[in-house]
Amino acid sequence: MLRFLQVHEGAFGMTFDGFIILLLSNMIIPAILISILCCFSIYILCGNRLNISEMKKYFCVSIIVGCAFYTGSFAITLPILSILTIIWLRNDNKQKTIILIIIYGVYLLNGIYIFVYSLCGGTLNYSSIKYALIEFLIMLIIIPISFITKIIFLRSKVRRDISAAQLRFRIILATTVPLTICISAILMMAFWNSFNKEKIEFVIGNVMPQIVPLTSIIFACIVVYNYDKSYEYRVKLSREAEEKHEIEEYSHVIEDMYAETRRFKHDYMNMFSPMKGYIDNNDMKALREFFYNNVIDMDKDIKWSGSNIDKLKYIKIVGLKAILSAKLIKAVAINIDIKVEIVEDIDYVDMNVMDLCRIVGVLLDNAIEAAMECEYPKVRVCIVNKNDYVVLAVQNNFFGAKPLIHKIFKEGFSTKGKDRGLGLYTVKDIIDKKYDNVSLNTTIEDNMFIEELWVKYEERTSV
Amino acid sequence: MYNEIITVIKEKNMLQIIICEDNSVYRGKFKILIENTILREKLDLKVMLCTGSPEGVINYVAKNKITGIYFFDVDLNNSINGIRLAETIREMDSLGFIIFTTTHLEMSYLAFKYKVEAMDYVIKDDEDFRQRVNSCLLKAYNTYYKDKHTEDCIIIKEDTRIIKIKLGDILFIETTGIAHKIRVHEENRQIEFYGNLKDLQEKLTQNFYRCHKSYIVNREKIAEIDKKNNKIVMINGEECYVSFRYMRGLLV
Repeated sequence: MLRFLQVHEGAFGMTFDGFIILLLSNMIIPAILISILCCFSIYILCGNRLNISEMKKYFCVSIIVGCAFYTGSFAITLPILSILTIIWLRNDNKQKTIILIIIYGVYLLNGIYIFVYSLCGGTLNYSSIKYALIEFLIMLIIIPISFITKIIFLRSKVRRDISAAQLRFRIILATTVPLTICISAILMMAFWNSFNKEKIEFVIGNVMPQIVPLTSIIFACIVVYNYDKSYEYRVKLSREAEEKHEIEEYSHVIEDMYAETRRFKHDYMNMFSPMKGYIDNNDMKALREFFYNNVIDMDKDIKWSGSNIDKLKYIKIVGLKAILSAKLIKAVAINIDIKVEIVEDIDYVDMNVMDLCRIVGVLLDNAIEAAMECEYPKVRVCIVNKNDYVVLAVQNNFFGAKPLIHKIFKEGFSTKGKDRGLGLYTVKDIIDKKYDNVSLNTTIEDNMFIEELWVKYEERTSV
Repeated sequence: MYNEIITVIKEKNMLQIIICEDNSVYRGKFKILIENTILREKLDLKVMLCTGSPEGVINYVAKNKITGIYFFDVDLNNSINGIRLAETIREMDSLGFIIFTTTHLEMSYLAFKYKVEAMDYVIKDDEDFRQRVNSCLLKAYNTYYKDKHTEDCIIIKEDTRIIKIKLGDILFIETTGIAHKIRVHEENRQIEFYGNLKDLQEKLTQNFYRCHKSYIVNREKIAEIDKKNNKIVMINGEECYVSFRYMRGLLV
């Protein structure tokens, strides 16, 4: 059933040159043309999130898909597509899923075009470049289709919070309906007399191998995509719940501080009256004694006196505030001297909030863990805006020998034995893979270990 | 996106001391303290401006284009506080030394440091106030007049941050997975900034060798070369790669 063997049925005795030409004209050139179209529509649909090297990668993938299709055989298409899809979607990357759907979608449209073309009485002539070019021109219709899809997608984005039940319903609809229509249409056609046998054979031989696997795989991708989305949604929900909990805890601490301040106010009013007595009596000696014994160290009993954890009020990013307060409260509970240094509002950090929280969480965990070994453990957190940067610094003191920086970043490193050191490695990994606007600097200065996260604000249009 | 990489040693202006403090009694005391220190340590410095108004400081610096040692009170009882003032000054005088004077309560040294590269802080009500001022002055003075001659360093200037790297501290420099971002490895720190190896190499001395498409290594810090695995082991045990093509140049 190989299409290009079928076209040249009599050509088994062809020469090597002939084979190459055949290969070129039947597989590679059409594949390249369609791949160009794929790139167009990928660019239209999610162009502003891509760079050139990624585009090249997608181009290669779509050429592979194309070559697989143009062999026109179930035996080749299905396995290659499955393998490709599995490899491609191995990591949970939503964007990759979308791109795969786009590529397959373009090929599906191409398949439909061939189907319609041949039903209307045209004969496929793959060996002529002219035909390939005409096909390419007609397929340019993909560009307006992409635009329309984009507009629809943008509109539908308004109400994005879909419940899990809705999602499940959509998945079922999306998989069953088109597949049913597709198969029943093909079957109906097979029993329909208005088409002659040749055409039906052509349809079964050429179009089916392309359309059927494509549709099924596209649906599989859609299912995966929706699953990812619902998973993300669930994660978001649970994160929000956790955030809420952390913020509550933070507000308890603030209430505590307020109560302490009130007590302090009460206390010092109480102290002024004896002082007034000493001053009125001109009893300098007693006044001095009283002052140095009771007044000067008055704030030493206050639990939160040095911590200024209330400075977190400047952070306007709820997630970040929640994770910082949770970790810092934990640190205070184990007697670490913490200090928060923020002097202005922090409104926006140009990163995904989840990634930011994860990174900050790891940095603080490490800082707390390392500081704990000291006699006087100290952890400092500082956030400032600096022109288009936000700088987030975490400092801690450490006990013993200077840690070797490069070892800290190795996978599996931890000062606390096995299975714990995924921290900094993950941080670096996230930054290196996803953020070109973020840099992580590590410094050891005197007895302090310093991690700085520099996040640059980048102007970009969102999809 | 790209930065200016400058190897700085230019003609130097004289350092000027500028004080901004809203409490007039305290301001007077502070000025005398600094002048005494200058006399005692025989420094070539002068208090040029001692005022309570941040606008005055800004005008003065804008007009005279100076390099200064600034002592700013954090809380100035003005619409411009010490930090805002320091920010404005920093834009005009990138090499100056900013020192904050503050009380215990409002101390946020790290924030000052990151925001305006403040050199240090002195706490007004502390016992060792005098000593701190003394050491700050000496430190600024020495950094400005002496340090630059003794050791080579490069200064990376991005629009918002200035990174000073001592050549002698560098182990090696590598590119990261992200385009135009490079990472400098030192024994005590790792820093990342935007730039490219080629431009950077032009600023470096002969000790530095481009041993790989994405590495420049400091020859002085090499502990051993692993010819079999094409690796260089640095003196702190860190490894970097050397490509076969450049191996020969490294062994010469």
